[in-house]
Amino acid sequence: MSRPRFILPAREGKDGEPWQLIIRGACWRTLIEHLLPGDGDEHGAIAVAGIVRTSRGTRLLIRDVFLARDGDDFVPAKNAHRRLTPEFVNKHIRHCRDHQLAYLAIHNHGGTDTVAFSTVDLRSHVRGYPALLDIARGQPVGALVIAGNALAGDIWTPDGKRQSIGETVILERNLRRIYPRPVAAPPAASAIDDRQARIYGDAGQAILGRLKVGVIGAGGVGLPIVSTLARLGIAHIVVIDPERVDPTNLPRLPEATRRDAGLPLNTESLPDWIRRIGARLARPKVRVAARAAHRARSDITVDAVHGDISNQANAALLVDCDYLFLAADSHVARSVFNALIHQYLIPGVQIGSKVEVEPNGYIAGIYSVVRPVTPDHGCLWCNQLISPARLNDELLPDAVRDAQRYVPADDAPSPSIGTLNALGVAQATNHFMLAATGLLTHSVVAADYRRFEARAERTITTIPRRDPSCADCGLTTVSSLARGDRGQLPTVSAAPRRGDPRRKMSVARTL
Amino acid sequence: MNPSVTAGINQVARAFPDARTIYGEDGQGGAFVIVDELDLGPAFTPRTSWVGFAISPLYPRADVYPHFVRPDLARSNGAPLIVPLNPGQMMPGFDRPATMVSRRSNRWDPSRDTAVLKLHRVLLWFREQAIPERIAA
Repeated sequence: MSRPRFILPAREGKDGEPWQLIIRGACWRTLIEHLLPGDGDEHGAIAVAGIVRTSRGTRLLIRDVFLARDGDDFVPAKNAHRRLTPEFVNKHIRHCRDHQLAYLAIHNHGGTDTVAFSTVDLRSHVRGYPALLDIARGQPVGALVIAGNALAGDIWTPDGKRQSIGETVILERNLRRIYPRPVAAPPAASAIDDRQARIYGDAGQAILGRLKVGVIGAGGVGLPIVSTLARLGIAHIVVIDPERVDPTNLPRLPEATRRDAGLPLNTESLPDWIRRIGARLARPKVRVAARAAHRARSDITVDAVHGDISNQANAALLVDCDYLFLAADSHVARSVFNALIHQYLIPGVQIGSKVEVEPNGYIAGIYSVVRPVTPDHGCLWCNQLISPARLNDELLPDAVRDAQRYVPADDAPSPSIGTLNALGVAQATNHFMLAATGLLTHSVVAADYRRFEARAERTITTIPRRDPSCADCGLTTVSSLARGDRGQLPTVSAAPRRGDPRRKMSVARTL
Repeated sequence: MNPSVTAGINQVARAFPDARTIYGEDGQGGAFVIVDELDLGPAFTPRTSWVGFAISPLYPRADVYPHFVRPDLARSNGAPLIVPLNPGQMMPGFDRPATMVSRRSNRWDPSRDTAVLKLHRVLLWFREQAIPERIAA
């Protein structure tokens, strides 16, 4: 293999901030086995990617990779060491055009921690990419070059600009970050963070300090998660919950006060009209969560969204997060969380706890569950943890739902206790902290579901199933995997009007 | 209206070209739909009815149920209507008096199931109700 000469540096930030590349662990492993088999030679592939553009920047989301067979699809070239054949390129650029995905040609160079395009590479981009942009009809085209622990990119956009890839996040069990070249050492962690930075180092603290994390639910699980994340040093938290603090929540909300719950007015012994005033004065749970976060870190940014995750505008606030926590128990929330993870390639974890009490009062089970979910592993749809019937029911106004039941629903609140919630919170936040700072062991094997049986004091681990035809995590033409802004989240265009006697219909039309 | 809901309504209209498909948006991205009118088979009288249902904004992830038919539906053999038929209901959106048909799909698969397939299954259920009577005869 001839050594590439790095005469022209890859452009970085010339036409704006470098883009971020997010790649599923399965795709990365497939690529590395093909590109770097240990023969010291150059190999090629093509990746197709969705895009998400937000105020935090632009992310390319690798949906799938297609390996070029040496000698058939990746052949010796006159002006370069090797090239992809026109037939191979043509097949995949048309796929990108038809499915509105970015096209990325990939090859490898030698080296480990530093990589850049050679002069020959960059000249070939200038010769070929204008024509590819025409074929792609509005989709970006570009190239990635990979070494053992480094990745650089040269992305051409339809508006005539070129973008580099500043950071690549590989969604393995650990959330690995690689760059075109070694990054400068971060400043030393502050004195406040000294003890925790001794676990994951200044670099780990710096990573946590620039993450944006979404928390769906600010109740007995979500609120302590927000508080813990703030203390870890997370830069930006988005917390979403539609409820206000109720007096019955107080034993499970360590940060909440009696005043937050509208007490002393919000008391059962008082007349209804006084109690209603108290309930209206009660503080939204997200504001209590934001207060807890700011008490821990004065410089943290918290977006406290007093609303429902099923609302399109609220869910859209999470598309550029680096990690998601699901601490709400509705199936609609599960569905949105699962879609965000797969459509935008954001890893996350679902936390729940349950006490099963039979009608005769016998306690059948007390447990907490922690379910890590990545685009490769743990899809809630594939594991039948989202009920299509419940999705239908949960959006109905209460009166309609009640009318459609044969037997009156048991509306008694389910048992819940803070000690059990604390188990899930601790496991989930530890999993996140270790994954984000690269400290989980067995770096390739994905995390499985864990259920802690509190009465037996034992943890049961289950390996999640996967259905290749899944609309969220599968690779079928209708799946939303890594489609980013081109996909559609399972949300409603207006907040559910739960109090309405029935949903109102617009003018009827006839087909 | 969500594009998948629009697609679901269009599939229904194409599948029943001889019936009128009427729909209205629910204001959240979903729709209320009535197909007028369809054959329910000999086990019921009147034998034909409009069939209505709501398509959730979360379709196709969300199941399409329950369905609604005319309020004066009765069994041809005079037997009372029993579960899954529930008289005395209102069809949401259109606010029509109706008999509710609750056929929940426990194995609903968003990648395969559609509003029109579900409607076919509901109609099949109505039409299959005649079979035990024929066997008895």
